[in-house]
Amino acid sequence: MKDNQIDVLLIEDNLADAKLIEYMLKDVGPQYNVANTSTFGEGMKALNEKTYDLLLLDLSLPDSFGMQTVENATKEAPNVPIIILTGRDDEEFALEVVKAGAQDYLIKGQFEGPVLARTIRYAIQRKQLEANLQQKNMELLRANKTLDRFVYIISHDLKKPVANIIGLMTLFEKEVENVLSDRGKMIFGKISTSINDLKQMMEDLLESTRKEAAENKNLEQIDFAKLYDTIKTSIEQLIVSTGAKITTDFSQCPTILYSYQDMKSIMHNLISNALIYRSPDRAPEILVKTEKTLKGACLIVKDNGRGIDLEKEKDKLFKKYSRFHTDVEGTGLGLWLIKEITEKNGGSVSVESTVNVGTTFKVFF
Amino acid sequence: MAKLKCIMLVDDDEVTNFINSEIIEEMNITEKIEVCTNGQEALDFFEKTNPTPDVCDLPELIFLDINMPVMNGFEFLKAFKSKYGQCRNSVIITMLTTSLRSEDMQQARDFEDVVNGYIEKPLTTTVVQNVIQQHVKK
Repeated sequence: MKDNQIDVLLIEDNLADAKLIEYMLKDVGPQYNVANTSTFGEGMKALNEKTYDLLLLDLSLPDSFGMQTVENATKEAPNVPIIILTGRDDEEFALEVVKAGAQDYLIKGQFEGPVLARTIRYAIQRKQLEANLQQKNMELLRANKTLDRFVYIISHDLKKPVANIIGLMTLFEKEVENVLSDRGKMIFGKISTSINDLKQMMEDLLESTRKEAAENKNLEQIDFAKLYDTIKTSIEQLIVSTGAKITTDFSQCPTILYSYQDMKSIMHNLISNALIYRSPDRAPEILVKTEKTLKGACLIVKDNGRGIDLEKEKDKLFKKYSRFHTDVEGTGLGLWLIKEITEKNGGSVSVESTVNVGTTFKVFF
Repeated sequence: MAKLKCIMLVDDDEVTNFINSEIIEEMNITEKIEVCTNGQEALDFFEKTNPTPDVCDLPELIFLDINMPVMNGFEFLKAFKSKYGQCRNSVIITMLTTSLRSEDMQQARDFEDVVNGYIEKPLTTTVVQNVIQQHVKK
């Protein structure tokens, strides 16, 4: 559209109709240049040879007919706004035309120059807005992807030095055990808690980016007992340091078809929650059990921990970043993740809890 | 339990190697700890102790990192499998990695026949004990 010129391609086999439109536009102003072809094929050829600002398209051509014409034209010239010329006057048809990719439609014999000119201007404008929106959308998608990737890399790469610090602190602790004052030990303990918090936060972050990245996950037969062993190894330190007693019973439902990563994430989160939110007065006793229920397979994790006041907290329980016990480590992502994963797979999570007695989580798959 | 002859650590991170050496040394379970900074170095070491591949003079236990320059953990496994496949039973290979990424887990499954376990860093005394109890019979 240079120098306010609007180049219109009119595909219309009826010469009289074509002439009429040309006159109408000439009448409105000198800025309209109209080129006319009488078949769809010639029209597409013309679009290839020259850039047009708009396509006026008749729907009954010798080589193309009806809705197919609109679809073909949008396919051939996705960037050119299209106005349909039709003899039909019904809403449903009009909507279909727009759905097929046209910007607007005009009913033959029912419009004159000014209306035609305005429809053309608006159609060009709308197409432009649509293109801008699409462009912005693409940029957003790209930015989002980069951001996800970034979060993933950060949390992944940061884990290495954090794991090293934890290892070094274990060595250092032995080194200074006998020379540290009580206050020194207290401070050392706090450093240790902080670094473990950092590790947990990064794991949760990683897990949430992983969850978003994995669109088509592979289902596989998961052996609960084997999975439990893997998880147990990864949280060994926590189990030993809390003096926890964990009982398992997978006899009722030993295996399940599920995504391995998802199931690992669910079981890991439930067990480590049971350990972290233990009662300050007694060592944790945890039961990890599977059952076959009417609602399908079910994973139960029951603890004797500090419990949750469900009357007060139920609404907050599965929210992202919500936590009830701010004096212990945790990021508030765990339960949210479990709920997300199970619901995405058509399952549900239920919770029963009594303050100072314990909590039971049931995950139905 | 009799002491092992050799445990090998393959990791490009110097601090990680230091920590892991310290942990294992303190446990007093092996006569020797061999540290390599990538898969190629480990293969070069085998080359020296094994004039022919069927000698199978290999460390009893290998802790193997995944992401390393020159030759990464999976490339090492592939090379190991083709050259020392017949020695499979004289060595325990445990993958030691920063995070259990699902891509890595998938890839690790291709090596199920040569890898005994998959452990998240950091290495701890308990983890080493478990690996030895589970796999090193005697």
